[in-house]
Amino acid sequence: MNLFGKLNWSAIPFNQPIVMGASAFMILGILFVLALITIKGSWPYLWREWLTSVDHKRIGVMYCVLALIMLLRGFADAIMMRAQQAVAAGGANGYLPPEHFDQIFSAHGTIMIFFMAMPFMIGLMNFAVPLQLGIRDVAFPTLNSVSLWLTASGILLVNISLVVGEFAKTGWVAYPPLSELQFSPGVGVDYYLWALQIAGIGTLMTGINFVATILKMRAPGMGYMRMPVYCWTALATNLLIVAAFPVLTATFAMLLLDRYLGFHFFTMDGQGNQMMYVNLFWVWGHPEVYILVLPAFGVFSEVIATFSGKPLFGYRSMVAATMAICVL
Amino acid sequence: MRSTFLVIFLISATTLGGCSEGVLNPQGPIASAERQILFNSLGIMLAIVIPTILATLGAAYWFRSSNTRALYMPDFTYSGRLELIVWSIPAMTVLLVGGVAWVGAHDLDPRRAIASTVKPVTVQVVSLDWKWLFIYPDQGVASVNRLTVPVGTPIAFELTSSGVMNSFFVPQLGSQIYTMAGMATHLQLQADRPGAYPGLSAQFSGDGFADMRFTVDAVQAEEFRQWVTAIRDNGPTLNVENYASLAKPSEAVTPFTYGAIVPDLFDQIVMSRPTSDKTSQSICSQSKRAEE
Repeated sequence: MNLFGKLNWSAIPFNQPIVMGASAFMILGILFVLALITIKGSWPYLWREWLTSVDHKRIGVMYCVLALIMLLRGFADAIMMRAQQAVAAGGANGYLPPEHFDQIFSAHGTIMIFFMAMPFMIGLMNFAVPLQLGIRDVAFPTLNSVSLWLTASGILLVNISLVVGEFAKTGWVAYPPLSELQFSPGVGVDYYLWALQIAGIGTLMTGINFVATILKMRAPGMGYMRMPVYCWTALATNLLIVAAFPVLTATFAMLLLDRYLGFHFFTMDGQGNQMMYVNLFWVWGHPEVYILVLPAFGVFSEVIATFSGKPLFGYRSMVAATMAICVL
Repeated sequence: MRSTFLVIFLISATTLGGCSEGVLNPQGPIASAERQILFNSLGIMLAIVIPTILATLGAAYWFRSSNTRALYMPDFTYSGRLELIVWSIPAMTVLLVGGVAWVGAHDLDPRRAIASTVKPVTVQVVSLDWKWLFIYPDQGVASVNRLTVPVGTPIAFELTSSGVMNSFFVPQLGSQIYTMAGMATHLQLQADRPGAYPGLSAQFSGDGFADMRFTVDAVQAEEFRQWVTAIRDNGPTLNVENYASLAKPSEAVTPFTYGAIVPDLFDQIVMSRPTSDKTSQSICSQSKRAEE
């Protein structure tokens, strides 16, 4: 029984200068931050006040910090892809081999959707929704912390895949049969699936947490039609999370069963149906668009109304429209 | 300064240069109709987008805090008339764009035969790792990475894949369509003018994806007959063994042709039974068991 499964020393691409350079940069960055914390003696403060905090504002800030760090990573990926495409015009092959380009291409999509846009929106909701509802914290503060650290674990997995092994070479949607064992025997798709499973469960818990908070925890006198419109969009988003993320988790679980236990949900042979993965993935993917955009609409409505020095015009129809989008 | 202009010119020339081979330069009825839908929906949406952007900038400028003539109404939060206007315009737009899309989707249904007096030519397309196989069942020939079609003739495509998903797309002829193992998709296209049109895969399919390109040679009907005669009985036969070796992964394959084909190969590929090794036999027996 090998504890590391398919991973051994050859999983670390020592012969690829670009990967090793990026890894060294990342590790040096982490060491620098850790050293700085140690020198300043802020470990007890950081541990007690931030890392183990269940305070919604601190969790919100940590979500946003995570999102911004991943924005940097996703941005670096984007620059590398565009540079490759610019250099590889005509007959030239550019500086990235195909298997590396394919990983960057998949990692960019995955990171920007799951580990940048989602944490940022959830961070904003964590910070603002309890304050707007006039309550001290969300319904389940510890669960909230668990959600954050599950998301962080998913992020960690994606970044470990840069150094150890590889990331998926399938694009961010990982359609089978390309993502099945037959065509992707490496550990890349496994990284993809486990990272998104873990982070997805975190997101689902956030969704449950916020639906419970907004429905049951509002301050005395805070009726539904007195809630700020951002709370309405947050409610719509979290209802959609609760509706859509279990589908994603189940779909990825089926793909995991295919890869690990020889099932035939989406395989080419054994009566598998690859089209079903595409359908199920977009059962999640379509609501995901609204999950991401509705809180942003809420932010626009709040910020513009506030800086115009007047209440939101047409609040009722905005609420109705938001909930109509949620139902549709 | 001059070098700046030169750089700008070069960048715009290279970026715009792509347009001559794209969906904006259609060469067949399907692609033309699709470009019309693109322009129609763009126009309908711009009818909202442009006034909204202008009104936003105008309102933000006029109602700035230093403008003493601007009316400040802090309690103005509801007006039924305004809301009616504000919501009815987008509602009408959605209806209009939805209507355009609905009618277009039915008119341009990939399966729908193109109205024509000319008898359609059937082409069976198989996406392989990483190249395209085009089988002409009625002509008894096949080619790889080069599709030759007669102009003014509807081409009835049947498409499948040997393994991973791909998407067959010739931008200047219209609609892209997925190829998936174990099922056949259908598409009808037509080229109106002779020419060489680029085709590609529009669904990422692995390492050799970037080179999964082919050229569509649209030629006069007479030239097409000559082409078929010239390659028939010339070169290898596309049988189960040759197909199996072709299906092995390879990249940037130079186009070549097969002088003869075995009948029903495409149907066998769709049924995933072109090989005769043990695994596929056991799968067949398993699936039979499942059916019983």
